Amino acid sequence: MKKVLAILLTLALLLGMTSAVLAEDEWTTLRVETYDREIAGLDVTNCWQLKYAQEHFGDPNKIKLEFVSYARWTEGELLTTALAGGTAPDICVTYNGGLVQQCIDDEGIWQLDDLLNEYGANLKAFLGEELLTYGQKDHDGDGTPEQWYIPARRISRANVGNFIREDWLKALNMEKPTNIEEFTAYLRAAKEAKLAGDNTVPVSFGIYAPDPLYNVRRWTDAFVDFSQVTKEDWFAYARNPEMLPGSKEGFRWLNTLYHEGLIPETFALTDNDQANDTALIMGYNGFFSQQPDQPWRTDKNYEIEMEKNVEGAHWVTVNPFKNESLNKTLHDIYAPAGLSIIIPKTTDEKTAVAAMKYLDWMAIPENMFAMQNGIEGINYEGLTEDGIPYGVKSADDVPDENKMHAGDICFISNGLCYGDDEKNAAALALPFKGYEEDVKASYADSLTDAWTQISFPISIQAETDYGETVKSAQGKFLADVVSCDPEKFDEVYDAGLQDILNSGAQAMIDEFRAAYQAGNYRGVFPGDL
Amino acid sequence: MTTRTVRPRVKGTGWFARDWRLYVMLILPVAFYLIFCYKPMIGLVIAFQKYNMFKGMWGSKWVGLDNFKFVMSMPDFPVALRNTLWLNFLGLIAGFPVPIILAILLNELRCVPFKKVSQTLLYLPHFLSWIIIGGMVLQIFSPQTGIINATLLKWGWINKSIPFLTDGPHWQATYTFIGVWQSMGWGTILYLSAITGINMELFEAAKIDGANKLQQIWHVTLPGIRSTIVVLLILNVGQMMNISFDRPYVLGNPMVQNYCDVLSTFVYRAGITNSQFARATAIGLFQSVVGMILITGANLVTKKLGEEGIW
Amino acid sequence: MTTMRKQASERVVTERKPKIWTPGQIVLMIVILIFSLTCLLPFVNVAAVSFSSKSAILRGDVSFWPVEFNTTAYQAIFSDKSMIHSLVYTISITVAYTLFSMIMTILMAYPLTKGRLRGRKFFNFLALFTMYFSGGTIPIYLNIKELGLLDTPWSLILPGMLSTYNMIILKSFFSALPKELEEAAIIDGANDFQVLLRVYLPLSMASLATLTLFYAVGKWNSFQDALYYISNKAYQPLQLKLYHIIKGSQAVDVAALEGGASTVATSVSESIEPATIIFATLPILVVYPFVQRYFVAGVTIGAVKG
Repeated sequence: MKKVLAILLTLALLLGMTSAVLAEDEWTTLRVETYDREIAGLDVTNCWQLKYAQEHFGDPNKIKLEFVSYARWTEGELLTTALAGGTAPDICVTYNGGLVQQCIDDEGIWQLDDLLNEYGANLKAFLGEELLTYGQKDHDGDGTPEQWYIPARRISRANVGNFIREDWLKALNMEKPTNIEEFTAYLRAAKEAKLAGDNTVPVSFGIYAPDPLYNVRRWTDAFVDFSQVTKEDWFAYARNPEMLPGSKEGFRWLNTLYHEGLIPETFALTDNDQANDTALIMGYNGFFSQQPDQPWRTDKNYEIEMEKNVEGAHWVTVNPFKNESLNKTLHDIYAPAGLSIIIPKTTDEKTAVAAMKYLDWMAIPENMFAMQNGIEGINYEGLTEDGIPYGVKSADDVPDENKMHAGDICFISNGLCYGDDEKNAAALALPFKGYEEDVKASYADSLTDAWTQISFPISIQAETDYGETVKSAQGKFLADVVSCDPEKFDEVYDAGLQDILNSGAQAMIDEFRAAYQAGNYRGVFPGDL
Repeated sequence: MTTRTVRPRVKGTGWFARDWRLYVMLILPVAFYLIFCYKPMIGLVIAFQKYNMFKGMWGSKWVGLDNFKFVMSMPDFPVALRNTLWLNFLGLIAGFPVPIILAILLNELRCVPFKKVSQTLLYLPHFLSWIIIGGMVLQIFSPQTGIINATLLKWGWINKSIPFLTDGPHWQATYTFIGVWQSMGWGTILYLSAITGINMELFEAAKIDGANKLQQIWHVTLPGIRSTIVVLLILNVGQMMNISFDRPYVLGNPMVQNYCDVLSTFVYRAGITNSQFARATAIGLFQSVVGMILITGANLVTKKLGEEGIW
Repeated sequence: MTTMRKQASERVVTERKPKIWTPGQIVLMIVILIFSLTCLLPFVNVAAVSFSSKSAILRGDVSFWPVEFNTTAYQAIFSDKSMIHSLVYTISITVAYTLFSMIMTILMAYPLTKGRLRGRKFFNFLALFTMYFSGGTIPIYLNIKELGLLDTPWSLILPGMLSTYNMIILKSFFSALPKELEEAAIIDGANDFQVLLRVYLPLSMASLATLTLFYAVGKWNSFQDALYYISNKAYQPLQLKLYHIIKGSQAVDVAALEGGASTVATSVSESIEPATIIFATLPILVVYPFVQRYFVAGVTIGAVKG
């Protein structure tokens, strides 16, 4: 009997010891949210980058990486539902700032301070202190902000691109306009000379319904009288450029342009109307203002198509929106933070450590380069002397097992990163074969006299409540004010402002003001430039 | 009109012995309703909470009617409510008779291939997405460059473009017209199948009595599909508080904001894009309650008028 | 001679060969033609755009005939090898869904037309209530998750199985059938199941066909449910894949921010949505004629006599 007991005991001990040893050797599974754009042939859950990361990061650290596919175009709703349902991956990413705010308020995500300090040295170096503050909010009100999410680094912050027809300028014997007066003169002359026949509409202009004044404020900010704007006002009116002193004249100017036929009569119908595209491509327009690389983007090919249809047509960058009170042509730029990376509380501690290690691994330059660019000869032709890949192959020319998507997998960097700003700027222009210089010039212009867009590191309840409603009111305001009878302009303008205030803007402005006074704001005041 | 069967009336457990098979039939559907509809319906309590999606329904704070009060005090709300009811009403008036007329006309056609092809064609708009339809609407109805305005201006029939999309009341008419166009195929199929159910002998009898085509339609066809018409009318009245999102969102524009904003677009702005689910649920609950009242009312009225209601 | 098919009952022939080309008929045909054209022409435009080049579309040249004909958009759709698999898969879930839905709808509608059913009002209300009151996206998602249906084809079939709206319509069709039929069958000794199967269903072919069509088309066109419930690629229905392709080709504007090489899909950004519409609609148009023959007038209730 005793012998049997002894044997059993020893067996139990051995079993216990082996399982303890095995437990230490146990692998952790790390599930990473990965955007899926339905690129034909690319299975994001089994792509080349996953294999690379598994080999170079997962295996040495005993972490099994899993990419979970989330449709890019509905990522907000999908992630919200997954978080509410408890099925979200271990690392989640989103562009939806409101959702992240909700997660912080509802305390559904982990604070990342300790993890970052212990395992994220490379990540911190890559992002920098200033950028990291975007992910910090003082939720518990104790005075020190906590790190709630990791903000990805936006490589390209340019936002504004103004484009004018070089051939029209030549035809009218004019120089590029540098202020509103010259600009208006150009528009009028173009219309009178009917440079594109009867269809000439000098300006391509439309209302971007999701945020109507976003693109329009670059027009009206030129009229703002900064001698009457305090820094506090600037931040209080963060989402209400129409309230800034002087902008009224900007809207009046737009009204004039409309009634002179310089802006399309259909401007309010929709920004995505195919008629807008057609007009641009057929050369009917002489000016438009959008993103810095708009004419060369391959979805519409504005420049290339226009050249096919109109002899000698060419878009060049221009800076007509000069603010006289500051004697500067302002360009707003994005905050340095792009994607938000969060770790939901459904992730256990061990896996959270694995997550931070993974992010940190991605931040190391060699790894980032590999994950973003792929393999020489397969994903791109070769390297320039600066070490930037050129001849990037279209996804269809790459065999299925090598297909990849830079930004969705290496998401800590929004945009391709090659180390320093100059290289990055050059890299931005490389995909636009034949127009690299134009694109570079456009980006350079869009970063002059640049002020960073405003954001607030605390929860602004009024913005959550009324943000969208105010935007809708602004859309109506814009449509009314630009198209109304010039005699009635003042009436319509004042009534419109009142409408906007009533729809929740007053509450928002008050809360923004309070946030400023408490020192909780981010952004640049043009008066400080 | 329900008539009793020929069997003698039974009391007590006799009715079960007679009808148990009917209850067997109901088992699966009722199970479906309970599992897939009633179980998640508890989620409606979110409307009365400050919903924290991580704590879930049972961990979130109760705030009574606060969500309702907040939403209804927004200046957009009454506008959205008014537009929803008005646009649905217009849609009902304009859209209700069209499929009936089309079905009757189709039924009178004798060339069978033509009839079949037409039926198929009428159903096509149902398959176009609203984005595509929106693009076409702009191409056709835009001022100046839209096909209609451009042609009329060229021929000199009008001096200024007709503001189909840029003037409120005009926009509502255009919106209604597009809605009728898109859905008439669906309704036509329904009424056609109802017409096939009419006893052919009634037509023979009417012809023998000397009725012409129009009289036949009035006295045989229409009464024959009356129950279908009534049911669809009640159902449509019951849907007056609901409105789809895509159609107003795509066809609307800032110039007619006061005429095109409806409850669905309002909820999108005030409850969905900013993840305010409690508020979105509150609006939905409000719509549900009013809708239920509407259909019950419509049902009562039709019963009073002697028709068979839907319950 | 008649051109009508024989149905469950006989058609009483009283007319001679019907004249097709009378003036009345021609007027009728013209009126219907106008309606039909308004429905057809936009579709023709969509088809033309799907076969046109991007330049031509952006120039605004395309109306009813392709300009600079090419099939690149369709190639972009089919370059995704899983498209055919998805097509077959979607057809199978549509068939399954329609079958289950019709069974459920019939099983619910039939008893509710019987006045003798105790608790009839209760059951009616049970169904009607669900037409108006729904838990909302998150509670429904949680329910699907708790039932273990997430990421399975059943999540696309089971949740929407019974449309109360359709059920009410079927109920009204059933009620419209003469009571004498049921009485006659009962006298012959039939029970409720047999009355349903042998009397009601055969005589309701038109309405059953209609509702089958509605269920099938509804399921075929939907993808909102798959969006939330399915992450496994193999279980994605066709419309969802097509939706992604459209979005993928149109959102090049975030390339600078989100970084990624272009694809052939972007070169057809203007024609891809029309191509997906044509691609997704063709199967329905193929099926439709088979359903149409049930919409033929001439069902007589001859069996009642004598």
